[in-house]
Amino acid sequence: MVAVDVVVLAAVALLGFLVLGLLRSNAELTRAMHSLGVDLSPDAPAGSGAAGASAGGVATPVALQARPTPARPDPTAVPDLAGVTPSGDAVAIAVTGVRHDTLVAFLTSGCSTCRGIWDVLKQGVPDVPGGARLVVVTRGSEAESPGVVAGLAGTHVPVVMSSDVWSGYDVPYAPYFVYVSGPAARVVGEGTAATWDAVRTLVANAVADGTTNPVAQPDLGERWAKSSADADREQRIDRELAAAGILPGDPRLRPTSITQPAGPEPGEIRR
Amino acid sequence: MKITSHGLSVTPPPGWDASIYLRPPGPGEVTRPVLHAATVPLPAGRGDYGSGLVETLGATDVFVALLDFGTDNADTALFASTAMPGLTPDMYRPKAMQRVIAGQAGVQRFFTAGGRAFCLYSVIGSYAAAQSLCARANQVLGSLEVQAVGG
Repeated sequence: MVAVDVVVLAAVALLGFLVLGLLRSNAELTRAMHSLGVDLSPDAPAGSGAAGASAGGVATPVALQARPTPARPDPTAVPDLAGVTPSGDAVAIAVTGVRHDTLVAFLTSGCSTCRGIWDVLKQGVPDVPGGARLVVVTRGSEAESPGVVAGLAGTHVPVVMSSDVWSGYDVPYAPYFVYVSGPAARVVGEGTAATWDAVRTLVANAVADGTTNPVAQPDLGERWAKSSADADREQRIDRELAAAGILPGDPRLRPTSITQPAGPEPGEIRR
Repeated sequence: MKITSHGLSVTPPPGWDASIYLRPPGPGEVTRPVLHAATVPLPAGRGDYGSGLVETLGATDVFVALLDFGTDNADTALFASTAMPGLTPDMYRPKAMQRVIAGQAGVQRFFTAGGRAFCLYSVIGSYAAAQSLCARANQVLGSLEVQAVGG
């Protein structure tokens, strides 16, 4: 009888430790989410941000601002989106070295907040302010059912299933959105929102603020603003270099020597 | 960023989209793998020869398609070449397009690799820039891998 009591007491103590551990981990998670502007409590008051109220999940949209993360401290470390489609085909989508911007939507099939966004995507390609290309990324088939994802996504918006991409972007939760400037080859904003309207508002604000169109930081010694013609020319050159596969930091941009042509240039007359 | 599917692999250069897909067959229909790579986004509703995509090519853009014609056609007269073709600028012709688009040029070659018959089709956005755009197409072709039948 004493032995039974001891076993029961030990079991109760063990359960107590487990419950305490779970409560502590939940508190830490909640604190972390709050620090990111996300309130997971179902009765939380509506957010005062651009998106307004939520539907049982993310209450406060997080502004699209670049967020250094332990796995992605450098905003120019932007992996392209390679994986498989829900139908099992292979796909690779470039987000840097391209002329367009990309809005990457990280969604899961299980999160209730994602459901409303899936519904919008299934109806067609939604309007993205600024004209960015919209791509959905889910975890790979080891964590998501391709059939379920196919049913949710429809056929209008490209879907890439890849846990490597999910990890590469250090996605904290779903839904999560990352805005990548193709010409600048960098993340210019990321955050979350409960509805597609809220996402649109966040992106529209970022576009209006110029956040999605980063330009080179002026030198400290630069006293005059660039003319629009100079800015246009710089952007055109950046685009053409990117199209040729020459991205920021490419060693070809800083040759150590220049080989002079041996003969006359076309049209040149040498005496 | 190498992708592999249906016995084909490609490593698209930076700034390229790529896809290896197999259309779901209709009743009594047989479909075979298709590989697409382009310097523009690959639209969802594009055709196997790039219809719906080539119209979006700008003057610096390139499209490459590799279409599997199966083992039955391998080593037949049309697919007698046994080497993956490298492209040269003079191979591109404005009239080699599936549908002529002003300024653009295309090329089509047939060959057998790994016991499978293939058609290679490529379009460049500017015939005048064939020299540089052909080099970009060859970048992709150099990364193509075909898995042999039964291999």
